[in-house]
Amino acid sequence: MITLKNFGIAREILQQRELSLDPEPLEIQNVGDLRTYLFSKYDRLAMVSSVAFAVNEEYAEDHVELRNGDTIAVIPPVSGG
Amino acid sequence: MIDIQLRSEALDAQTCLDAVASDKAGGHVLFVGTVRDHTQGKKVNKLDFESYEPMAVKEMHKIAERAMDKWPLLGISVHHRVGELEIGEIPVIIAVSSAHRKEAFAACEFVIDELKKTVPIWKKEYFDDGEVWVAAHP
Repeated sequence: MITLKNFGIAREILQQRELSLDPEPLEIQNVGDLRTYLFSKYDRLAMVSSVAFAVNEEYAEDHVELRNGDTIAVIPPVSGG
Repeated sequence: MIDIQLRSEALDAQTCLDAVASDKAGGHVLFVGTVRDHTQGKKVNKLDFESYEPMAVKEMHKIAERAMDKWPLLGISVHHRVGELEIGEIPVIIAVSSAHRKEAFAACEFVIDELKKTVPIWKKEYFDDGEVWVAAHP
């Protein structure tokens, strides 16, 4: 299982702060696969101007492989400061 | 010396200045961000800041380390607030000390610019007629 942590508008669109996902039956192997899955399931997420991902608290590009136990943050455009 | 804090209580400029104080310093540069009462001509009532805390702290650390590598600095303090903020309140304070002012000015600007690009913190603006996550849509 992998854990998704959702923030800002992503949290509102997915309607939960955190969710567990079994990547195997969904054929999710890397960050890009997860992106494709989430964008097709939540079309409002696909409309956000950019969505980044972090794996275990580090920004991760689409090619980064996901492993059992990983925590993935769904990061809409940041706006701190 | 790097001092990074994410806090839900009011921020204090003197605390940040004290954190970077050094007998070797010839100057301190302080940036204090404040909540403005309007955005793109619209009246803002309040802001709400949300963060991915452990990663936000790590990313602020990385930025401070990059600044320390780039300029000969003595200290950097970055304090960021989370939660609900009213107009005039302080979401962020950056204090930088160095032997000479030029480096401190440059580093302070670098830190706030980079913070806005990469640190996982999000703000929601509340208006009379609704609310919006800043930068979420083009």
